Amino acid sequence: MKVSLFVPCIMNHLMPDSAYSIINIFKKCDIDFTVEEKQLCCGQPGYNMGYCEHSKPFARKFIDLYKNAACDHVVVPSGSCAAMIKHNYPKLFPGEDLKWLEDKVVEFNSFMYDNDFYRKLDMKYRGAIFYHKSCHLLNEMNIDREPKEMLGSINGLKLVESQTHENTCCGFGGAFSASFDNLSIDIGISKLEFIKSKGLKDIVAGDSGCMMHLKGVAMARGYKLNFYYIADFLDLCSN
Amino acid sequence: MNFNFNFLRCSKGSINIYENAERALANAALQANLKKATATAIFKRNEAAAISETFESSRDAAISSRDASIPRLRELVEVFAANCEKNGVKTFIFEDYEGARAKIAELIKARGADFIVKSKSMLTEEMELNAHLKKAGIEAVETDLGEFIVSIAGEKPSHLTAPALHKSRREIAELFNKKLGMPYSENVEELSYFARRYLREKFMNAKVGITGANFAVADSGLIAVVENEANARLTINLPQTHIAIFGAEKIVEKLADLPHFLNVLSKSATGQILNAYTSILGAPDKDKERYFIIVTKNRFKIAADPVFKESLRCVRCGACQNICPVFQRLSGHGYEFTYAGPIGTVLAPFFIGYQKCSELLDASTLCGFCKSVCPVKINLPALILEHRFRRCADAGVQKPPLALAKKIFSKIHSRVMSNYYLSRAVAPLARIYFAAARKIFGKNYIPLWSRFSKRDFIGEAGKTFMERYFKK
Repeated sequence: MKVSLFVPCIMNHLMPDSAYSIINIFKKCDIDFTVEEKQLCCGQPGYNMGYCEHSKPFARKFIDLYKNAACDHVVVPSGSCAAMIKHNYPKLFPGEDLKWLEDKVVEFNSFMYDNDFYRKLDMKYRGAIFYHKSCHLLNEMNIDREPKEMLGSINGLKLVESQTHENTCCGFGGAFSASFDNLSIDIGISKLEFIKSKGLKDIVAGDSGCMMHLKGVAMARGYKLNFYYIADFLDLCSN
Repeated sequence: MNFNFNFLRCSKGSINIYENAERALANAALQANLKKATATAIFKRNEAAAISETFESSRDAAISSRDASIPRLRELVEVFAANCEKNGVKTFIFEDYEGARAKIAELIKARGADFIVKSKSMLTEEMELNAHLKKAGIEAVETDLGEFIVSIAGEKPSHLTAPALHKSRREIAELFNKKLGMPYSENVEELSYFARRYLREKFMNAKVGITGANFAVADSGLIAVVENEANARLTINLPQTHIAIFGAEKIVEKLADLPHFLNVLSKSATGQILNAYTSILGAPDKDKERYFIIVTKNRFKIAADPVFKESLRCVRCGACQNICPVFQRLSGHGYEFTYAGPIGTVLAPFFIGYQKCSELLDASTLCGFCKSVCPVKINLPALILEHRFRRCADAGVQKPPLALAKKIFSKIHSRVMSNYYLSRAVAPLARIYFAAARKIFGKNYIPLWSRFSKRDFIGEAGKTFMERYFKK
């Protein structure tokens, strides 16, 4: 199996080490991978603000780049980018046959889980972590069991998550985080306070957008919390 | 430094959702009330859904029923009215609020009443019935405890099923003490007993009772009224005349589908297996009279919209409001529209137009939890997004500076980031900016993101992954 790694913008610009964690995991699992040098943003920012026309150039270039690319899967390590590509591209080009996106594009968690690759990692950890279910991963991609079972398979790890009545969203929401900054930050604070109230300081998040926001709020408030993108954590535990 | 940017964020003719958000966030008591009440409601809803063996199948049945009836809504309203006439219930259909309000005032006046008792109805909030009756010299007494509380406070309900959700016990005690002269007490039983005694007297003397309806069954001409306090039963049964008023969206085609709706409504709204009282009403008792008033305002317009017709599945349970992180902080009042929260955001443009709710549409993280708890699985985030598309495409909608900045940002983002060479120039330029920002502010300051230093920007301003991976 050969895969092509898609690197979301936030990960590329702000947490490049997380992309290297994914590469480390691919190497540990003997997964043949490539990275397309010409890859671009998925086009989500304009789309979510209401300017779907602005997202069309991105969708067109993604389709042209990956349609005939010599790989079985394009692995997208972000629930919201994956949802944008798989669910919204077909809406942008309704006349076009984009069924291939459904099989070819896979979110990182489901790729690792569905192919049982995570079992090859032989992971160990001592202690408890909080798993933040990123909303688009959970509600748009319906990916919940996958990350939780992968984390649950780590030897010695205690996994804590919040129920739907105990703070769900982190408050990021793309442009929402800048327009409604105070609301966005308040939602983030509730989430962090909840995690602290459980006596936890290690947070594993399913999407880099949530991490950028939560980490920024934690830094401004002087909270001593550690944030890991899920691939960072899987890579860390498999050393 | 606390500078108010709201005039830059909101046009004059729009609901100032930004100001409302800041005001709500500054009110610590409100925040505590909202968080406690919504968390409890969602917890109960989840428990009820988890132990029920029929919840999921009823959800699917309710969806099928709605999806079959929405395209035939106009016809089903007529079928319902014809069946009601057969049952001996006089039925009126109005396309606008004015006609319905005038009819109700006329019916009340003809019975020589100067006050009426009323149980909960969101349609009457939508058409501001109480205020109009007052102008006609008729006092409307709200008998649902939550509605009673907000009505004496001179407020509007802040939630679909829990109108006084935003108020704490202490605030209610103060209100009863100040407005009704009750000796101060925070004891729930004493407060309820006081309200009960106050309202019983009204019930005994009322000539007309007005209720809403949760469902109106077309094939049998019956309505269902769902409640927990028995105030609707008293409103229906004690006065000589009962008037039920409801929107056309309440129509359910077949009586056989009704149990599925009742099943999902009680569990989603209050987490009850079944609510305490369900009244199924057709022909009035001997010597009594009953009228049904159906308002179709905007309902057929929504039913005819290929995307938004889905929103008419709504059973008004309030679960989307309870789980919404924005509603949990803004409260229903912050939306300045009868229907708050995700479903309110979806309905608002049809009622007040894109200009008035242009900023309201952005007040969502699109987290999608509303979609997951909605008993009839309305894809609320997708509908909110569709409204954003239509608003942005509408050249007539005035843009405040922030919206204009977002449009320009979106355009530049599209031009630059969809071009390989330009997109690769962003990181080096950002590094120059951040180097300067760190000198001036001592950190990676980004204006809108890091306002008031409540949130830092995490960029290490190092090389991007692409630069490192493909370094030549």
